[in-house]
Amino acid sequence: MSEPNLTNRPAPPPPPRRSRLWELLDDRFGHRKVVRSILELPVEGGASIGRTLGSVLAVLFLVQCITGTLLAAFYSPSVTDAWASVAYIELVVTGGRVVRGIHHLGTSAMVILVGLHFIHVVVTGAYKAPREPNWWIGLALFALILAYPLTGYTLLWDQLGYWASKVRTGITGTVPLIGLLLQDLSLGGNDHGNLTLTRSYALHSIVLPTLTFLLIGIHIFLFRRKGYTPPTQPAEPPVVEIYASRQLSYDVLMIGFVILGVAGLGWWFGAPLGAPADPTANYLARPEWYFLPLFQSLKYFHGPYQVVGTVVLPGLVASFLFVLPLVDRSRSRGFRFRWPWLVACTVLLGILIGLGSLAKWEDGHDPRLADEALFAEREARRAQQLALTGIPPEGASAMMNRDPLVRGERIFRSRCRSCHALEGYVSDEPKGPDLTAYGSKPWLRQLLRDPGGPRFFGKTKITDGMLSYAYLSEESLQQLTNMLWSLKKYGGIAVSDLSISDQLVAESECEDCHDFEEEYAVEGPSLAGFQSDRWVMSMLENSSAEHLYGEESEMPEFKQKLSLTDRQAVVAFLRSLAVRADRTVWPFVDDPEISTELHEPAKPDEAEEEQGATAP
Amino acid sequence: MAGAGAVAAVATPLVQGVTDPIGRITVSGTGEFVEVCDLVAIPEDGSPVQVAVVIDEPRDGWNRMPTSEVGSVWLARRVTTGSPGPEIWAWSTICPHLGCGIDWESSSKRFVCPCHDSYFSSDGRVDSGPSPRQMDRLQVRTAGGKVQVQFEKFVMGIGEQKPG
Repeated sequence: MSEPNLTNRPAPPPPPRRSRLWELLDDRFGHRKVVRSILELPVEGGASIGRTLGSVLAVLFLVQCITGTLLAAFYSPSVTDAWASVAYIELVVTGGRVVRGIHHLGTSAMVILVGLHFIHVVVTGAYKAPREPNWWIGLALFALILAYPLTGYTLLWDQLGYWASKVRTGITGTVPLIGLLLQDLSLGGNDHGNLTLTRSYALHSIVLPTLTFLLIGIHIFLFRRKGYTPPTQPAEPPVVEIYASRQLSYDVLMIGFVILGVAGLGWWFGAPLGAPADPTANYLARPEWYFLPLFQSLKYFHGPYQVVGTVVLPGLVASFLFVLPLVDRSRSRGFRFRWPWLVACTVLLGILIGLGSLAKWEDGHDPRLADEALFAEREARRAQQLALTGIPPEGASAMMNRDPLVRGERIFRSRCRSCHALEGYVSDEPKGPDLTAYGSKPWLRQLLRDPGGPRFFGKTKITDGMLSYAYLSEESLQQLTNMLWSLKKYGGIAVSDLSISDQLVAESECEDCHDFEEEYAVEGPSLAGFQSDRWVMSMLENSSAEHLYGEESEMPEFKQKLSLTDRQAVVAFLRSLAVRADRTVWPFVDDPEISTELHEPAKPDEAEEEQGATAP
Repeated sequence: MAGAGAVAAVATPLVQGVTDPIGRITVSGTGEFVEVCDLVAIPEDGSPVQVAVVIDEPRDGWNRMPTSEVGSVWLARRVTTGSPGPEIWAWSTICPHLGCGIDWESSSKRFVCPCHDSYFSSDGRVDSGPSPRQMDRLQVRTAGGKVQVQFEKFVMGIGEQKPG
């Protein structure tokens, strides 16, 4: 183009006074010419927001490099240390939580912006000749951007990273011919382990960034060579301005807006860190939102057709995008000339969004998922709590395994939940009592009120074993509840010695059916030390014992079925249920009174006692 | 000739270096019979139970790890035609589809892989979903009231159960 065509061009600034040093430096580096060539780059068709996307992406990539370097300064890639070092960044390192948040959300932001960049390029027809090479480099950059989370999630070595990595490995394995080789190469051997981490780390922080820098460099070089894609129907007179006028300010504004946005969101939301990887778990792995279309499509290809979902379809999508500038031979970039290709791209985008939305919708209607998500969140919290006390050199997984509460809950979920409902989860037709908030005062009071109800013994053989105390006054009920609550502190004590009125002792007739002093077996279970560790353990080991429920008990004897460590863990877990009733995480049933009571903070002495009981 | 030999002498170690972990056992703990639980721990009613596989000091790359749980298996008592009583069956918990952990859904008495919705009947056969084969059976034996399982991993995504 010729110089006189340039309109809107600001009056040339007065020549700045240049110091001798400036001249000296320019003589050596020649930067003035470079800067001028950038600032005076013609922007045919005028500045637009769409044209800022490339610059924003480049700066966002630099932000990822900076946050990534900060994280790398604390990270340790080994199965024992990976989770531990990430938890250290999250919990201890100053600003670590925010840096993780920015790094995590930065990837999502890049995927969104790359998507918009692609849409802009397709809509304006910028992929067409003579800019095809830059379209291909753009595709390669997109693939690289998707490779970052694939390698990055593994580095956390938390449940999600570990199990998502397993699926990724499985997908790699389905590649025809070289799948298993690639699998070994990406795993660093025969299974997930130390070498998986060192490889993922090398890829994530050295190989991928090097390639990205290289491709971004070529991308910008080629862009500079051919310049902005001119509009298909130039205005009369054509609008051509230089970069240093409006486009520069648009770029600066958009970069500022996006960076501040990502930083703000990163600060607010942080990045997730689940519980450490547990290879024995049946973890419900779900990918990041940008992989949901792929994830969803895997469900539809069964048996030998699996490879269609894992390799063929993604390959077809990539091939279509690759050949687009070659097959679209329309004379002009105008919509009129290439509408079939625009329709094809819109349909493709629609299918991707549709599949992703379907995956979300299906998950939203899966009760199992909600339960698993709560469990995962609880384990994650507990893991961070334990991490603050220092993670043993054997690693975070070992730390979790040794924690009685974690171990107890894992065992409870696989062995006890088919009969005992817990915190809204009802798997089978539950037979035994609901153990939500087990042993808490609200639970005890409800037991007194409605022992034969569906939440307690209503579905067992002893449904009419105990009469309801619902007829008692609130005050008396409270007294009895407190009495039951306090039993765990005493090995054996006469009811008359407990802090309830003589009248209530006589009226309630507890002693007619329950022993309180471990002296004799009566009709009902002995309540000597009721709900102490020892009492709960004997229930777990053999609830059919003479002094407990006798032959009417339908619960298996777990003395043979679980090791002592496991039994102790289950007892610790059951004993913790009374204090962990946190309504924000698991809404407790229907009784409004109970719901409010669960919010009362435990009294200091009670809290202390619970702590003592649950300590490893 | 000498040139080709020189190239090979340089290239071979290079290629070997780049591809090193292929085929190497970097993480130990598979292939041997491992004691997983007491016989009595398996429910009499035929419902399956998931037990952890504990390996003594497994190797992982350069580490000799503490004795740890490296995975888990499903065990169940199953009555098969022609055998006098129920026998113990063991399955890998790893889904043959893409490797997630298979769960037991007690309400429908089926195994289910939570990732891509593969369902398996209580004997491990594919009910529905993408899994290319039934759940991987593992060798199991009992000795002195203990259950031992040959803990193995198999190639995912193919129709046959092939160690890998």
